This record gives sequence, structure tokens and C-alpha cells, in this order.
Amino acid sequence: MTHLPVHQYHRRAVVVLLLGCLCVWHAVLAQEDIRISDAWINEAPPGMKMMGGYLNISNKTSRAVVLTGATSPCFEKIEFHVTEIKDDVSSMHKQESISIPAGTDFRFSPGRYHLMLINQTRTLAAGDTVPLTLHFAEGEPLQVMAEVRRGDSPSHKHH
Amino acid sequence: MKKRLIFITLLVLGSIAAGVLLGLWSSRNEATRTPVHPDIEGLLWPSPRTLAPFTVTDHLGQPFGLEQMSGKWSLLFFGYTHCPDACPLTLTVLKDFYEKLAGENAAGDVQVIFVTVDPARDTPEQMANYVRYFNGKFIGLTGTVEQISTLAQQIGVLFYKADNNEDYAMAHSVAVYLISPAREWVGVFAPPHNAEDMLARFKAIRKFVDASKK
Repeated sequence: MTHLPVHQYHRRAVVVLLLGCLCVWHAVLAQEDIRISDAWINEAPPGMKMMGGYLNISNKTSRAVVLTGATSPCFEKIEFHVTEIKDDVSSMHKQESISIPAGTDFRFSPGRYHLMLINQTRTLAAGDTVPLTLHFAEGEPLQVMAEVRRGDSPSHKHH
Repeated sequence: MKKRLIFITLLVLGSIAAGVLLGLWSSRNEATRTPVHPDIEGLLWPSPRTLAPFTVTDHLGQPFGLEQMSGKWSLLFFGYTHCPDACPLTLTVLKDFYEKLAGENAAGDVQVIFVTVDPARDTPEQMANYVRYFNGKFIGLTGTVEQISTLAQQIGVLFYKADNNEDYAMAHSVAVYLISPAREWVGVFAPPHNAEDMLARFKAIRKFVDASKK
């Protein structure tokens, strides 16, 4: 085993430090390019187990990002589901993950993709805000605050 | 020469008068003619199916059957209270529809009915909590699967358990079905729903069916 001069140890330490900084900086930058907006939860009638959550994810990065899960201290479990209507029959299909191509938006919206929020840990009513943490296949999780509100009736202009 | 001019003038005036009278007569005839099938999307005419008797339980725990539908326009929607997306969405539209109609003082003979396709979890109390959230006048119906099927099958409503998880989901028809005061299935509103559109079509169907019964 050869002994390196002291200044070379320093050089290595600086390189490691720089690389470390670069990694952290890259992770922050990468997640900053994923933007979550319009997060809200449809208020449910009293005593109901399931609620629907909605939000928009904007992937401004140059690669696909994969949403793998969501958690919240206000719910026991959160799943991704899509409502599909075929021949007027509606069914929900669980999605293990959601892939969002580079430069595109993915919208969870009533009647289509939704966050199925299972078993509230406390009673939630319109006006409350709920923290949601979104987990991705790569990078740090992102936290967003979702407002509980009464869903609107869709009008002509949305069709 | 002068006599001839007067004759021609009278002839022209006479023709115009005859034309006007003929027009008036034919338009009057049009108004009294029996209504033909109007172009209303979702209207089931000319031979609507008359519902057969059924018995289920309402959200107050009282029996509910055909008698409770007589003399009223009923809008039926089938779903379940554990549904986080499609059902609250449709009930929000129905709430909007009903409140708009009530605002026009035209909801006195209209009832909105939510029928569960998941009676194992949807007790009358659960249905009461659910329907009252949308509107205090909405009716919730539950019962045994067989009782609900007796009603559902008559209007082609499908429902089945979609998985075997503890928190299972139901697959179910999401159209809104319209039953006339004569207990005839006269209309169907297919998804996607919106209140203004449903209101316009409901009023057109009600007017047409009422006119046909005279």
C-alpha cells in the first residue's frame, strides 16, 4: 500500500465533495422540473371511507418520470385508479404506477384518473388542507398541500 | 278597361286572402296534430316499457316500490357509497339539476333516487348519510341483491363486484334513467353528464310525454 502525499488526500476529498454537491444539486434541479399543481380532494359525505383526490403533474424534464406511490398522514392508504366507462358501465382499474413522458402534463381529474384516498385518519371537511407526498421511481419525493373542497358540477364549457 | 283593372286587383287581393287563410288553417291543424317523435336524445318512444312491481328499502328504512313512483317523474341512478369518483360526480350533477329545477318551481313532482349496487355495505343509515349530503330530498334505496336486481334488470342496469379485495370496487351502469309518472321508462341520460344538458332534455321529454297523454 502506497502512501499518498497529504495534498493528494485533500484533492480527493475536494473531488468527492464536489461530486456530492453535484448529485444533490442535480436531484433538487430534477425534482424542481416536476411541478405539481391544482391539488384538491373531493369532500365526501360524512362517514364515507373513500375519497377522490385530483392534481396535475407537469414534467418539464427531458426524460419520462414514473410516479410510483402517494402517502399522507391523513389516510391509511392511497392508490391510483382510472375510471373507465364502456357501454355506459363504469369500472375502476388500479394503476401500480403512472409514467409521464418528457415535457408533458398528467392530470388526475374527476371521471378519469384519481387518487383513491382510503380510510381517513381524521375527519376531513371542505376548507381543510391535507399534505400529500408523491413518490417517484427516481429522485426525492415531492410534497404538495391539497385543499378539501366540494366538487363542482361539470358544465358545458368543460366539454 | 277600368272594370278590367278592378277585376284583376280583386283577383290578386282575393288570392292573397285565400293564401293567408289557408296558411292559418294549416298551422292550426299542425298544432292540434298528435305529437310525432321529437328529436330528443335519450327519449325512449314510442313504446316505453312499463315497470313491473318491485320492493326495496329506502334510506329511512321504509318499504319502497312502484307505488312511490306513481305520479312522479323519477330520475334513477345506480352506484355505491364506497365509490370515490364516478358516483359523487354524477350525484353532484343531479344535485345541480334538481336545484336548478326547484329554482324554477318545477321540481314538485320530480324525485332523484340513488339505488345502491352494493347492499352489503350500504345500509339504510349509510344511504341516508350519503344522499342527504347532496340534497335533503334525495331518496336512497337499498335491499337484498335480489330485490335490487328486480328493479335493475327491468331497465338494463348491470352491476358486479370488480375484485375480491377487502375494499372491493363495484362495476356498474352509470346512466341516469327517467321513469314517468305512469311508471314508464321513458328516457335514459348516458354519461358524461352535465346539469344544463340534462335539464333541457328532461323538460323536453316531460313536455312531450305530457302532451302525448292528453
